[in-house]
Amino acid sequence: MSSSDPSGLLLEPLISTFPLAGDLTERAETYRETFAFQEALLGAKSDHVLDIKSGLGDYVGSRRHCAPDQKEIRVADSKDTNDPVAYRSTVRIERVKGPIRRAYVPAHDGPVMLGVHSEVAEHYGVDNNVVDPYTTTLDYVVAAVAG
Amino acid sequence: MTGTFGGALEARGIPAGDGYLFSESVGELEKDNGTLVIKRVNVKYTLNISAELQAEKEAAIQRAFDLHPESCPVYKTVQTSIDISKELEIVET
Repeated sequence: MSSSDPSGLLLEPLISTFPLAGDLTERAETYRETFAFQEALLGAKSDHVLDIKSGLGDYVGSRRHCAPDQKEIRVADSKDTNDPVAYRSTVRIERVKGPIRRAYVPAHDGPVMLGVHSEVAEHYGVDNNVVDPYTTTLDYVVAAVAG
Repeated sequence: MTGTFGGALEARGIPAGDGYLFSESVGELEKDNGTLVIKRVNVKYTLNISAELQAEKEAAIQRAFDLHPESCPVYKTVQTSIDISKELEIVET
């Protein structure tokens, strides 16, 4: 991508704060995907660095199915481009016993234990002298709101 | 929802702990004026059950599956703002 190229002009001041941009440029040239890449750059809401980074983030996101060491880059088809989903959170819940569950959530090693305690245990008739108390899903909803 | 569904199953004599019941869910977030918002969650349950018990409890399983969200406090808390769907796969053991 030459410096006279509009996307190249946008890219030059960006490389210091977004090192991946240089790699993307090389890959885009190699695989002749300059149109999609330029679209990501020029489709930004403005020439502000954050907006350009957002455009690049969308560009990278459209290629999330490619393994890092995969040499051939799949060109985003129209379905990918139109996908409104920005993130998919995948969670696995295993029921252990009674109110106790194991939750496997993204970016966390091992399970998060779920259960009942205090007034919630009382509401469900669970004796925490018999069943270990754990944080409730409701506590996590409150934490999510507060967080 | 998994805890509530498990409780509803066990109340009907269907084992739902210790590996009998688990769920794998996907929450989809979209940008709403630049803010990530949870739009929908699909909860896919897997229930491991013997063929004999399934035949005996088929109607009870379906009823527990259909009705349990209304007894789930988190479902009732968020259902007006998040589109929540559910699926059930029964695996004969």
